[in-house]
Formats: sequence, structure tokens, C-alpha cells
Amino acid sequence: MYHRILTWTCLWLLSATPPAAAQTELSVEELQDYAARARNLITVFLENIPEIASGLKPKDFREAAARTTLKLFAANAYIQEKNKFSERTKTWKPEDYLNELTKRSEKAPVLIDFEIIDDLTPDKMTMKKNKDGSVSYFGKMVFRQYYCILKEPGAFQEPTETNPDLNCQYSDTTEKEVNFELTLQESITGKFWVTKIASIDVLRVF
Amino acid sequence: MKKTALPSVLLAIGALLLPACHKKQAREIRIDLHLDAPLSKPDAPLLPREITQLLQPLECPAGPNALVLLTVYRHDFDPPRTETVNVAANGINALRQSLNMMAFEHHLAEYERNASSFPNQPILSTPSPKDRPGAGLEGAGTLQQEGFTFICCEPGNQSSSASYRIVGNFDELRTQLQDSLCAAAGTYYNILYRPVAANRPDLPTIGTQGAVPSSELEAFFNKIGDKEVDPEKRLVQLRQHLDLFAPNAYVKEIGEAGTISEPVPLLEYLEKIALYRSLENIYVIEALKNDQGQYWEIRLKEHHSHKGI
Repeated sequence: MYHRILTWTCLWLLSATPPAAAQTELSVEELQDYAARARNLITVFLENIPEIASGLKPKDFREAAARTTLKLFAANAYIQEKNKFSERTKTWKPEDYLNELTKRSEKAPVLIDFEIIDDLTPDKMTMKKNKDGSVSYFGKMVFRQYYCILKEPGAFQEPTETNPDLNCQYSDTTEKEVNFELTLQESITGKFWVTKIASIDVLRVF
Repeated sequence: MKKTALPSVLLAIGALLLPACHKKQAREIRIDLHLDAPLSKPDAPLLPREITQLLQPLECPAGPNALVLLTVYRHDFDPPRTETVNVAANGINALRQSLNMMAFEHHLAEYERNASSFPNQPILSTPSPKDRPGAGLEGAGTLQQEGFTFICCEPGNQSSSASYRIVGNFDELRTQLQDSLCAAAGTYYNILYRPVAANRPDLPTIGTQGAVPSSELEAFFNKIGDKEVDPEKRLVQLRQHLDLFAPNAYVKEIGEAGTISEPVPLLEYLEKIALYRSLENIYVIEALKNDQGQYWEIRLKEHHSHKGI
């Protein structure tokens, strides 16, 4: 009888043990690795977008660039855009955004340039505990996007220092915040911390 | 007063009973799995999926069950890391998982060659080749079936080749483990996992004999990533040289702190670097060859000058 009670007590206690799925937090060194990966993601984004938008490259090239860029984003990610003359901020799925940019560049080439003004560092990454006991990390960086829709080639003029955007039929500068997420994901190849862009939000347009 | 005392009492009981559970109710079966070759099939996990599947049905229908402690020693290169096996969370597996008894420990194979680079890391222990299980078995012949070889032995008798049991497939291994689990006292298995030579990942070469020198590979990666060349041309060039690689080649990123990204197909990686505008250089740090003189792992390091950073 004592033996049976002991057995059931053991089983109860063992099954009450916290699940092994509870994750340990990442060290500063590991976060440095993932911050570097996040920076690499945004570098790829900032390098590919001008190529897709300029309309100078053939379609298969722009498709390859769009394909590579799309892989930088999380499943539910979004990208925001805002016109300086509009109050409305438009939110795009990354796939739709890239398709639209590819199509638009065929009609009117768009010159886009970027400048990172607030970089991501490991100390800026914050941890969030999820309901299932797992943890995720989040980080932010800010860049400026210089946007110019070119005039028809026949209307081109020599840009001046005071008006470098002379050949743009529309131009603006948008300050954007990139949000990264770092989550532990499981695939057929094992469990990996995956860094993705969760969103690109408009901060201000001028 | 009673309310505050209750949690302490429960905790004390737990502490007293848990060791008893281990000793009297759950025997321990220990499996040391030695991975003696690179695992680089595109659909292969870091560990053979068959091994994790092997553990799932290891449950005794009647009588006491055992906790399986599986330690995996990687003899191909990989930074040390620990992984927990995912098995169906039912029956005895739930207990095993909750006790973290299914942790995989990866050991660094290159430790012996690079011992000076990895001081004070006790996890990096690898038996010398002559002490590895099955080291003396090559002459006796091994079964090669389904692309795998298992040499299964019990410690204590490792000096005698007669004590080694060679199993040809996972079903046979599962039967042996099941029998051991349900019958006798605690058991210890050493298993050598060695894919047959024909299944080793191949890297076809440009020439007819021998492998491409690593300097040539380095030149290839730098050509594809050369920021001075139009990305359009680089994309064309990479497609012309895809025959340098096995169709199932993949890339995993390793950070400075040893973090590893999920493996991605090689073409995906090459397309990414063909679009780079900030790559200064790619270095081949190490290029490991198999017995046929073909590379099975190439370690690269990218050096970037990030715009605005």
C-alpha cells in the first residue's frame, strides 16, 4: 500500500515539474549575434529596395531582389508608407508592397535612398515573456528614406545645390522605425532563434 | 500561521520523494550516440530524425518504465550546443521531457585538433579516435543498410569486439532497446552512427580529378559578392557556377557567440550575396574534405562595411 502511494505521489510530483520547454534567456554575447543579424536584414532591405524601385533592371533581376527581400519579414509583418500631402498612413503586407514597387517602377522610376540614424544595439533589445513560458526579444532601429518619383526624361534639368530634387515630380523624406523580433522557432532542422523584421512604421514625413 | 507553513511542508516532501522516484520507480537507460559523419542532407535535422522517432515508442506496456538519457556526440564540426528532443508529450515521454532527460549535447569534433583554441570548456570532450565505439570494428565488417551503420555495444566490454552488436537498421535497434528497457536493470548503450560512404554529401568539382582549391572557392564567393560589379551580372555568374555545389547544399550562419541560424538552401544564400552592396570580402576560414577529396563543409566569414552604421 505504501509502495503504491509512493508511486502515485512520485508520478504527481514528476508531472508537476515545470516543462522543459521553459527557455533560458539569451546572454549578452548571443544578443550581440542576433543584433548583428538584424542589422544585416535591414542592410539587405535598404540595398534591394532602390534596385527594385529604380526600374532600370530587368524583370527577373527585380524578382530575385524582391524574393530575397521578402524573406526578411515575419509572417504577419507590415510596411507603412505616407505621402507628405496626405494625412493617411497606408499599411502594406511586404509581398504587396514589393509587388507594387516593382509595378510602379515600370511606369515611373522611383529613386530611393536611405540613411540609418539610430542603430540597433544589444542593450536596446527587450525581452518579453510569452504565455507559454517561452521568451521573445524585440529591437528597433530608425532610418530616413529619401523618395523621388522622376519626371519624364524630356523634362530633366540640371539639379542645383539648393534644389537637388529638381528632377523629381514628387519627393519626400520619411523617418521610419524598423521593429525586429527574435523568436525561438522549430522546423524540421531543429529549434532556432529566428530574427525577422516585424514592421516598418512611419514616424514622420517631411 | 498554518497557511504560511503549508508551502514549505509540500516542498520538503517533494525533495524527499523525488530521489526515491529516480531510484526505485524509474530506471535509467543511457544512450551515447556518436555521430561520426557530417549530417548535411537538406531534409535532415541536426540529429537524425530516426533517432528521435526511435525514442517515442520506447515505453514498456507492463512494468516499470525507464528514463532515457540520450547524449549525442558530434564528431563532425559544430559549435557545442544543447537541444531538447521533441517527442509526443504523452505517457512516459511527458515525464522524460519534464525532467529534461532528453537533452542532446553536441560536442565539438574539432576539439582535438584545435584544443588550444577552446580552453576551459569542459563540454568539449571528445574521445580519441581509437577510443570511439566501434573503432576496432572496421576489419570485422559492418552491415550497411538503408544508408546507415549502427554499431551497438555495451560499455565495460569495449575491448572485446565480440561484445559489439551490429544492427543494420533502426527497427532492429528499437527492438533491442525495447527489450532492454522492459526486462533488465539499467542499461548503457553506445551507438556509432555512420552514414555509408556513398551517402556522403558530394561537391562536384570543375576539373575531372581532385577538389577545387579552397582559394578558388574563395575567389568564387568574392566574385559573386563583389559590390563593384553590377548585381545583375553577379546573378548571371552564380547561375553559371551552380554545378560547383551539390544540389542539396545548404548554409547556416554562425555568430561570434556560436549562435546558429536555421540552414537555408545554398542558392538562397548566393542570391543574397549577389545583391550585396556593402560586402568587402568573404574569407574561406576552413574547408573540410571527405575521403574522396570533396568538400563536405566550407566555413566562410563575411566582412561588411555597412552604410550608415
